[in-house]
Amino acid sequence: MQPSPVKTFMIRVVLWLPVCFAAWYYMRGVIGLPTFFISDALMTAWLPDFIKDIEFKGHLLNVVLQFEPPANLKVPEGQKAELLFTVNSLAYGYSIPLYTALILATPDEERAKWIHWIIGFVILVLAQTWGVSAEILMTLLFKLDAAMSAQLGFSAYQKELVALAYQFGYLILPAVTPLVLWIGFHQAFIGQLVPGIHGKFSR
Amino acid sequence: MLRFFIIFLVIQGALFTAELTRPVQQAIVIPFTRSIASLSAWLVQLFDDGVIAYSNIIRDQQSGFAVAIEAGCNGVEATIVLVAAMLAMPAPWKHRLIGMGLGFLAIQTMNLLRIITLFYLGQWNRTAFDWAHLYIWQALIMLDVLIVFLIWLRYLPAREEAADAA
Repeated sequence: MQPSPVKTFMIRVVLWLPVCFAAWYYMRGVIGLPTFFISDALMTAWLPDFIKDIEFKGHLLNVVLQFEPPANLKVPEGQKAELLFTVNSLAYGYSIPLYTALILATPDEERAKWIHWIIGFVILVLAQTWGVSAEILMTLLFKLDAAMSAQLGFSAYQKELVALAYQFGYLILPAVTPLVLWIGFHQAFIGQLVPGIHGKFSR
Repeated sequence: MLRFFIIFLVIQGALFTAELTRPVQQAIVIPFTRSIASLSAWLVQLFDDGVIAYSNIIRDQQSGFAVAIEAGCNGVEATIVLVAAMLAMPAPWKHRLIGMGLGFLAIQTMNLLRIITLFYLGQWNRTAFDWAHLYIWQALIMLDVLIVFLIWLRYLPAREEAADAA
């Protein structure tokens, strides 16, 4: 008896997954660079008066803030206060090993696999950047002292949008993006897994 | 396919935004999350009587280690993704409802396994807990969603049958 094609495919994904997670973790210093560069450029350009710098330490992004010190904080005259907090970029990047395992488990030409992986990687880096940037904003607006957060000048409505963007970037984007990409790139293979699927999708 | 993706993204965005609103949180998400915590604790207590649950927290009485089941740990987002995908596919409502019901059970079963394994992993090793919590189980739950969706697609009737059913 032939095993179910869905079952065979999923076994292959589950076997590739630990390999991909291990490779992703050990190469995090390189894989995380694009997210770091984009987040750093974006956030320091957008909020130059508040975000002094973003440093990349392995997979952790250290965000260095500068702000007008609150009344209870003494700093030398003419200077601003500085504060540092850390964002774990991997929390938004597990989609990369998941997507890689899906690509490796799918029978396809070598060239097509590379093309799909590279396009997918670029999109997943953007999704990861969304998550990291939204967490930085969320921390600035909701976790700092209210007097400091007020210096950003965000309205209540804008704060709600940031909260939504953060939740979306943490709970939905890393989870859904690899599946959407895989389905989009592998309609022919899904047609083998699910006979008659083309008629079903195009109705 | 493009139509499927557009409808899928719109439904998913709407359901996710609705999930985050205060009335939905108060009426559905928070009580549901608490019931997940109670069910997890009940399952653990079947073989380990040193565990207690209150609110959305499960605690080991001896070690004091506790896990809190928060947004993202209750399987609601994974269910939203699956429901959006099933609603975006042209299919008879009977098939959709059966798919959503069985899919919900499959996701929650996997999620209970996630909570229980995390509870014991955390007592054993904090690094392993963080890894499993932040990365591994997130990926496995979404794989679960993909498997359920592919299996559901296999059971959808062919085009003509669906047209007759509609």
